Amino acid sequence: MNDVLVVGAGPAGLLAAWGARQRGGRVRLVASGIGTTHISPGWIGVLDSDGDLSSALQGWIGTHPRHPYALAGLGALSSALSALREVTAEAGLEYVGDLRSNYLLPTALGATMRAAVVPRSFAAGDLRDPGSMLIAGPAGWRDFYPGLCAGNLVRQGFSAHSATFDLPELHAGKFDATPLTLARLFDRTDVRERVAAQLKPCLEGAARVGVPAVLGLAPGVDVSIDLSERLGVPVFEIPTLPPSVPGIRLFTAFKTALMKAGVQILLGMTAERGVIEGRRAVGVVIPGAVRDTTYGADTIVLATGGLYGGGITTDHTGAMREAVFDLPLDRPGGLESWFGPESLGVHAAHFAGVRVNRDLQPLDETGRTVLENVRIAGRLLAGHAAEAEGSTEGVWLATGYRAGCV
Amino acid sequence: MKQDFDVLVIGGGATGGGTALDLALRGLRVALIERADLTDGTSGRYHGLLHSGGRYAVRDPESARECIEENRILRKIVPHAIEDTGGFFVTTPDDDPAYADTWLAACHACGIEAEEIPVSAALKQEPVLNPGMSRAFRVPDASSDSFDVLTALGLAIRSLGGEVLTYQEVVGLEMTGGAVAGAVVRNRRTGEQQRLVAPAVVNAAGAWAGQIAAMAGCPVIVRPSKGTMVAMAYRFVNTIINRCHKPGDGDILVPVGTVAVIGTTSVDVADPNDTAVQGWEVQKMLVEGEKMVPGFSQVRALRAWAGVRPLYEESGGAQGREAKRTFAVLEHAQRDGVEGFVTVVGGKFTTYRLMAERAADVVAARLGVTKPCLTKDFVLPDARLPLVSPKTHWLGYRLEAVESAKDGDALICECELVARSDFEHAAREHADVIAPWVLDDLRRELRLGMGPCQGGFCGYRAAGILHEMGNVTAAQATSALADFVQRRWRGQRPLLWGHSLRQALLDEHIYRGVLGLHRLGMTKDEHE
Repeated sequence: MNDVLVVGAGPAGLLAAWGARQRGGRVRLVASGIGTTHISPGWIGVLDSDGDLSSALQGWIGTHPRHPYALAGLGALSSALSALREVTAEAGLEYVGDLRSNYLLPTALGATMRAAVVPRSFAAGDLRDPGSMLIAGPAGWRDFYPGLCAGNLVRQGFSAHSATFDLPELHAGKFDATPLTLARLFDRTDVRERVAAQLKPCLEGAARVGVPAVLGLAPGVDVSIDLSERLGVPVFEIPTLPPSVPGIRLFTAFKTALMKAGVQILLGMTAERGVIEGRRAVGVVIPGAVRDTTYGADTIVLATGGLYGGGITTDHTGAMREAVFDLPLDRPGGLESWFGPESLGVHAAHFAGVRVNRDLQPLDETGRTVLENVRIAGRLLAGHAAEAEGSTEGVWLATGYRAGCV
Repeated sequence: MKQDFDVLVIGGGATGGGTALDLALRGLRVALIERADLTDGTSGRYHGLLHSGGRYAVRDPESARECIEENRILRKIVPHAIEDTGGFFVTTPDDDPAYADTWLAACHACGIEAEEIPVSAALKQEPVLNPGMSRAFRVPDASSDSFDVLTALGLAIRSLGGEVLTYQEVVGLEMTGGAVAGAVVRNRRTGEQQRLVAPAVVNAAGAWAGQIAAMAGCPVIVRPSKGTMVAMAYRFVNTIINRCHKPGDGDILVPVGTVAVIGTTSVDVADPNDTAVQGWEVQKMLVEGEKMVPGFSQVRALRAWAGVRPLYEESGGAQGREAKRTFAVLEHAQRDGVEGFVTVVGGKFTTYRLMAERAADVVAARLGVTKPCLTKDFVLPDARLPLVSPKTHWLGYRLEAVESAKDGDALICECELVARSDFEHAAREHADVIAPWVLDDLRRELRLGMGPCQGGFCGYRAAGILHEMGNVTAAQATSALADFVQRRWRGQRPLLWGHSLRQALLDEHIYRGVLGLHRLGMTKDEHE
């Protein structure tokens, strides 16, 4: 039997654990805490490209042979998306779309974003469809501005207007409402009834209604369908500032499925260092109050994240270090070369990470495998600028799944 | 010829603002002209130290005396912008212990109440200080907020009938028969130019004073000296810490609001617009910080910026820290044969009122105005009343105000405790709300986006509220957001390691990955 230890509870780690378990491995997942699901919009962007996505991906791996997609293979991406659909469907959370073309979705700012696979509750927002939109949100809520969203959509040539609705519950407490506060409110039938009653007169012929992505957290109830029925037109969600309700739904779906499949999930466990014997990793050491514990495994999947997630640490001297095994990193030069002058530009630091082979095993500068039984997944991988490429979620899933299945 | 004003004051820093107020209090109709927002120059780019004068006592006693006198006056006239933190001078293991006696004697000679305290008492008050220090002294330093001071000066000038013209760049001086008779200003947003006629013009352009003087053909050589500062993300000292040694780099640590600011470097630059922070300057601050507070460089560094000191000596002479920090009032009628023109240059934030008084004395005499200076006793208005408690600056007042606010007033910037009502109030008062830099202006007033997340969350909220308030289109609000994000980036970029790097990537994720701001077009950073 193959004992697999997955380090990291972000999407890459979750997929790796799922893939490994499907292959019959005995799987344990340890992580410092919840991963990037909770800040992720919930859509699955694989590449920022219009037109035929499959050929765009083929072209991409042709011109980017060291990109995680080229190494993990596009087959891994397809399989990962199937796994995603399977796990989410089990939780009553439907994901739609495929690798043939991208959805074009509105953002909370009224910009556009491309994603291949999206929660069904996002799909009616597809801007390739000319249907006019009502963009609506709770009045006075600090995390969504329907007017700004609609205004920016209109100046890009889309048909949209905006409205707000009152939710007295938002202002009842001493604390500001987060997306979670709203999601719990939308789990209530009476709230949905009141919101629909207020929005109906505002439709003014709109073919669909976009609202912030806070339509419920409770499993089994599809709030967007309920609202669509009440309003008589499709209702779609637009992701807004974190924490992300669609991301939380995704995490919950995976957590439930993994636990049901017998995967042990241990959060609050920071892998502080690795134990190495020759060219094999024996385990990872997790410090505790009384003593350090070593968790061993035959195979270790490192999905600890990149510079944001904490898989790569940095300090003021310009040191850049892989956090667990101190693996060799593909990294830019000195501190001053990491980031350029343009805030939303492409920066050298984006490409930092662990270089791997097709089995996602970590390599040193000469291309030799460093640790034979370690697989790298997700943002820790070198050679991609995820946010700029629009490949964030695609790389998570493809490499996570691949790492779990090798 | 039609006269628009009695006096034009060029430069919206503390000196210009102070001079304009001084003249307005003498009954003159003034216009204060600033090429960007008030405090956009050196006044808004300092560490926040209201000097006791201790720093200058040994080598520059004239500056030191000016500092302690003005320190006492400012505490009375602008208390809401000053936090009475008090200050220490400490002899660290890296400092010559013999210097302290020289320094103490010099302080007493200048009238500065410096008092030696046991090292144990200093450590009890500030436990993070270097336990290896050999001596410690208490001085009446304070922490001051120049944004609040300039807001107050602007309010006072307007209430006396004067005008404050921001984002108006002086592109030329009106010359009539060898005398200065006004200025030509260009609106930075619209590009429109207008002539402002006045019989007297005061050049209070600080590090840019040489450029303004040249427009009248007067040679004024200002030596711009860049100083870089780093704000550390926690307020780990509550007292201002100075090293008791000959002034050098990174030897002042100032608690300001929620952060602790270390400064500075001293680098001669050719161009006063050169406020780019170099990597070595940041490293130098961390190395020097360690000497005062062991472990300093492990603290999260939040933001770096640089200001340009307007060093001036009539004889040319010394540069950098060797230069005296006193100031000069140049009467160009006598000096260069150009009537109607006065330059006030040099000095420092702490002595702004005195500089203003001296410059205004000269202008008033020229215009035949006999009313004396009133600024020593004129208490500046507090823009935040009645929102927060008066008296002194203290972060806790803001928290109290937020906590006692009526329900429904959302906190839009959690880091700096900015409520939606604060933002709406400030936006309504803003003179040119459709300008792309509006959010950065509001930041100076509210501290919006100045905390640990550096605008990651509040930027979108601010842009959304601005648009909801009307008068601003979606395009304008988005452009303001892009401008804000880019300006916040400028001060984060030299410090991107550890948690600050992770924060910057989270902000990138929000603005690029969630909101798609990059697809709606970024504006260029005006200062790059």
